[in-house]
Amino acid sequence: MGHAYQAVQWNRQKRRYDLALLGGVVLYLGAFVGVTSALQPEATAETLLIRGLGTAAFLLLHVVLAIGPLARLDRRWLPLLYNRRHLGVTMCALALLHGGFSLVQFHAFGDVNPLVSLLSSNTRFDSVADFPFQPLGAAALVILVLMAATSHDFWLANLTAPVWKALHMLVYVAYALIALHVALGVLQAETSPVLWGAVAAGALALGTLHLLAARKDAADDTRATPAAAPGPWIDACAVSEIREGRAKVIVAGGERVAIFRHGGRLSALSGVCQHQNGPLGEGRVVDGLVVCPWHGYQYRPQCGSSPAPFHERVPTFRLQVEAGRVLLDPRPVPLGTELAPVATEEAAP
Amino acid sequence: MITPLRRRHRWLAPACFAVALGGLGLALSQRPTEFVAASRGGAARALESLAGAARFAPEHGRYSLALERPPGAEPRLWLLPHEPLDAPDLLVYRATTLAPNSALPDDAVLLGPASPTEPTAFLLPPGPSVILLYSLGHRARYDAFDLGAAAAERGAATEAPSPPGAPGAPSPPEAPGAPSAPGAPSPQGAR
Repeated sequence: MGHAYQAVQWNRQKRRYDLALLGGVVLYLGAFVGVTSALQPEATAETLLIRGLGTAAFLLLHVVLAIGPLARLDRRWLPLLYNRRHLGVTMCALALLHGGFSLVQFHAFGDVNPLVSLLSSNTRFDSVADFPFQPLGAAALVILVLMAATSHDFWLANLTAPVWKALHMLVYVAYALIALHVALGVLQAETSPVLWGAVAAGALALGTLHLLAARKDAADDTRATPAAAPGPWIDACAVSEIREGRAKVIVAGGERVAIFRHGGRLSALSGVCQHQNGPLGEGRVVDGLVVCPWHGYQYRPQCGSSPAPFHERVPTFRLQVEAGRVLLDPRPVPLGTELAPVATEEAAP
Repeated sequence: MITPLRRRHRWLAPACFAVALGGLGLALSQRPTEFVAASRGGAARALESLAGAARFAPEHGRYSLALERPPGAEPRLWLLPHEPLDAPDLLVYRATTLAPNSALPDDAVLLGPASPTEPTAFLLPPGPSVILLYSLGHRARYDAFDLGAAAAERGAATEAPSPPGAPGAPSPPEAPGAPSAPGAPSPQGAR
């Protein structure tokens, strides 16, 4: 988090992550070119490069799309999520190179503008086998470039998290376009079932992971929804259910609210981080501040505001403790309002 | 706050993966049958479906060739790749002689682009024919077929293209450079 924007806020972990990523990409491309040129000696260097870059980008896209649900299902995947943006931008760069080289190889040496040629050289939209698959890849590339260009926190802050998230949700549309680009393109000439099977297995695995994560989320929300109660206060949970330094997440009014216990007192904040809408309720209280597990954004539990000089704010809620039960008013107070933390023990009468 | 976004995410992601899987299935089911036949039984077998076609050097190089003479129509030369080729820019030329080096002969006439994946038909001008597969990008000859020599080897003069002016010889096509015959699979050089 930052009040002044930098291209990348490098730290040791990010450097190691990016070095490993770069090394992996170079190794993959080397292995792909080596193995393919041995198996298909007639393949030209540019063909090998185009295919190597394309497959590397497609593989990375699978990794990017798998990290989210994996982190939802098991917290041990969270370290990968921390720098997922670097994976995404790398994937976009590979896809851009693939698209650029393809444009040069297949469309740049005629007397028609390459982009015009790309969109108009094949118009057999009535055929599945001969469908113009290249524009599908180009459309996916536009989405990926748009996402990479807006991946920085500057855009996240200025577009607001919900708009930014909605924009970046287009990655699923890009995935579908790329899968069709591959299926209607290179796989039309592929007689071996290995590649077909690998692409199908990838889509199936990602779909299954997302369904499992969605099911877990829905089950968590159902469990976390307190019974309806008359009046403004709802019975959230027992005080004993909240561990020190952690939160109990409940669903109130359709939204997640995190009730944190810190220093023997309770505070209720939105369970959604202002940064990337991360699961703030799964975070911890460190040095008196609630820390989001995704990217380390911090909030003061009393008012939901980030410590100066930062200015992110999340809604907060009023609490009461009665007979060992935590009562919550699901109507958020105005942003930034100071609410005194509630003692976990009722005051003696 | 973000409940609508989360709800949208829950159906959008699985829907896109389902579209991807459905598209894969559809694309798999609609692959060119000629190519599937070639992969299963070899190129020569795939060409058997061409009634009356004379095959030349079916195991020659990476392509099989066949000459089809439909009754009342101009002869067509078929090229069928034995396996998918990583050569996206091959052009098919017809010449009268084979140049000693890799250069394109002066009298070479462009017949059209060669598909690296599918059978492709070309209108064949009459006369002694050497068929060249040439890459303009690499300025190199990829393959060559001497139809006359192949016919002589087979001892089947009737299967060879008739010399110009011979009785029964087909009339020259109006547009020797026309790419594929009507109905022939289109080139997919960019795959």
